[in-house]
Amino acid sequence: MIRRKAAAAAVLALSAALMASCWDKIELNELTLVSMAGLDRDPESGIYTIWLQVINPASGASAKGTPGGEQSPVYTYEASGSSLAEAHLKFYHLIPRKTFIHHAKAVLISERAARQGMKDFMNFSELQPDARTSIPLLVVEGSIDEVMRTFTPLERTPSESLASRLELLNEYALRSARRIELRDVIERSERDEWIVLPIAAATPKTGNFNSWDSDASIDANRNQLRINGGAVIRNYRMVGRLGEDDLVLYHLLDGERGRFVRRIPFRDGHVTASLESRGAKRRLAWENGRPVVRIRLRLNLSTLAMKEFHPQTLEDIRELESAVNQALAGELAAFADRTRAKGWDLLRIGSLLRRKAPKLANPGQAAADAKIRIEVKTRLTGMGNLSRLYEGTGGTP
Amino acid sequence: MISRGQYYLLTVNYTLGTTLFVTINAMIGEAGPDAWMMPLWAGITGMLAALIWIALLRSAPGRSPVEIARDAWGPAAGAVVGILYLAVFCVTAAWALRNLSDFMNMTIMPRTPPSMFHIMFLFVAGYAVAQGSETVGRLNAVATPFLAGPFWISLALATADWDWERLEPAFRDPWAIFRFPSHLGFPFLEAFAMTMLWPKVRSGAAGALVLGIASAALSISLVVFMVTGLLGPERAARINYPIYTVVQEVEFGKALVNIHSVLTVILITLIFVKLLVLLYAACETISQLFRTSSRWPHLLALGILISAGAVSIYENPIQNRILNNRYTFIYDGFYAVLIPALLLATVRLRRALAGRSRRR
Amino acid sequence: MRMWLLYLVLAPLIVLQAAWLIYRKKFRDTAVFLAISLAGFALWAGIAYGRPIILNAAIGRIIEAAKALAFF
Repeated sequence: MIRRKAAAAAVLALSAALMASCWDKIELNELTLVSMAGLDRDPESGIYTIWLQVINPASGASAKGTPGGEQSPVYTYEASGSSLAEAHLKFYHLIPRKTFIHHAKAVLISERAARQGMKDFMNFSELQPDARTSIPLLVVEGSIDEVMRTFTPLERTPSESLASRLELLNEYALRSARRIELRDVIERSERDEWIVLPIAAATPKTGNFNSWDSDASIDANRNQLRINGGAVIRNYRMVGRLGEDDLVLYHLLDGERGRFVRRIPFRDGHVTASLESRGAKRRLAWENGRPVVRIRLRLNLSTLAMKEFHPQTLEDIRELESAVNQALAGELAAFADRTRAKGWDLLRIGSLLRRKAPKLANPGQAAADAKIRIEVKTRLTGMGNLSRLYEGTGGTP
Repeated sequence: MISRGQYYLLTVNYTLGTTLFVTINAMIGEAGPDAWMMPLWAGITGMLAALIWIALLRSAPGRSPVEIARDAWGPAAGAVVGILYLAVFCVTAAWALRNLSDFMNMTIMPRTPPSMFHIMFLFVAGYAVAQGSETVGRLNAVATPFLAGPFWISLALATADWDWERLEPAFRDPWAIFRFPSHLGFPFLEAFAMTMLWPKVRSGAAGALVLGIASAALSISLVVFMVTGLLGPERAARINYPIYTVVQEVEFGKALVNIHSVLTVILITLIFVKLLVLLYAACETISQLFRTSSRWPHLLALGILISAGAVSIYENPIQNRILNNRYTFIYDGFYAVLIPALLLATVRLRRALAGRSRRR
Repeated sequence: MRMWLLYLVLAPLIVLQAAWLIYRKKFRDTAVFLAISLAGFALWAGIAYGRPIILNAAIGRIIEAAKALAFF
């Protein structure tokens, strides 16, 4: 009995060597948490540049009043190398702690690298066991160096600011999608599908923007980052841009759910419709050997933004709904035609054909031939706070 | 003596052991979105092989295959078979340990020397096996809810990213398994090691074994299905440990974003159960084959042998996969199907002849 | 360097355990123990020397040889 207990104690004590992870333990203050990464590649020399924006643990409310003034919430480091791994290792010339990239909230890539092709960056990211590919990837318009060294007001960590803005844009404006992560770029590119990524740019700067005293400026449109438009990506390469307006139409057709606002022509003027998309359903049908894709959208309409007109009768409601249906179906069809004329398969018809009709001889040709039929169905479901608009004569409706 | 429920749970956990991280990536690479069907076919093959084992074990109640081999083929050939099985169990244990240390080194503990994993596991497993089959059965039965619960909950949390499009086009390649017969061998035919525990089961071992193999097949199929639906066949075919990546990408609200260490613990516990069974089988083989009387010294010897085997079992995961594709089916088929079938034939033949001579 | 570490760790384990078994007059056990642990020691020696015996390649060679014999 004693021997058994002694043996058990010995075994437990020895296996403590594994549990304490003697070789792999790292204290939290030996790590530097990377919150945003920036990537670039020079097309001529092939030199890779990485920026790492790391969180400064000494900043925050308790750091106010420390000698030397307030601390910056993030620090940006830059390193270059002939390969991504070499560039990453060069950070240890500058950073005194081990980089922890799993904490990153966003990755930015320069437009020129996106236009050349991002496959090498994607392969490198997925090769690292501790890198996250489930974070948004944004294309940077303009100087990525400037963007990586720009502070953002209100949300002190720029990557959190960008990530939270993307979510708000998706939920309230349909100007951003949920599938804009590195892994979505990989998945869609491997399946030869198109994807649209958000574009980030720096807004005009006043004065010396490298220091934190832009905090004291009241103009929050300046000295920060802005998300603008969409970068159209095919097979890891950026091939074009989508404007803000087109972005909403693209997301509607892609099945994103979110709210947005649209001016709809109605009777003799316009009304502002506040709409919520409930998703898009696609169906593939065949007419005379030609594929026909029926996309059906369901929208919920609300009078929340409708300051021009308030429906009072059932006919008013039906008229409003059908006006929205017609206007949007027209805009969406025009968008689809415009982009398909450019050779952009943003509706992912090619992939739909490959999935539903895998035995097709020439899916590319079939995708180009396909007819698109878009149906929009709107229902008035929500209201603003007024049941009748104010009538005076001052001001336009 | 262990109950049939404990035997069932041991079979399931033993079969799931390394499969969850070694073969999912290979299966999806080979069969695309239809890869979830491969474990089902492989499971049926395993169940058919299990029927052979059950018939063999039922023909000599209370005796294990090693003892049956000695009874049927005499002491010399029986010793050869016994040593063969001992070698097989040791090699399989070495494989499982090496798969484990590869996984741990690649994902969360890159600087720990692999032999530390091997030796520590052998220590703890050796101690458990020395206590006997009751300990092994009970330990596994108690641990199973703690393994199954968090595992399926983590996968359920990951379904926020589900996309049915990833599984299309479906049903294009249901017979893929027959092009890749190595999956027929691993892991289901390895369940042969469970037959060494058969004599210790009180009753109902046959149903437990077959049901265990079936449950493991269904579990693996469901996991492959979910991994395909969550990562997509393009990524899952290339990522080395897709189940780990699936759990790595789980985000439950804003707070729970790093839960993958839970999966690591579950996986290493499953491997530990596999090691327990293999070590027990090896120990029983030694004691039955050579009629030894002590336990601990042989566990020490096995520890030395298996820890060395774990380092030298294969050069690297790539070479392992290439050789697996070539030889697993023959290797597993030989010791888990051919030899038991020959033994069964011999036993039946002897009975038939003895019956005939008695009637005369 | 690795060789003497190997001897330092494994040799006492094997020798002491074998000696204990002989002391208890379990000769059969001693033989079995020595057989298995010396096989393990041989594998470890291969690893320590930098020339490990790769088991799955060995199994592959055995299977190829058996296939050649079977078709013969």
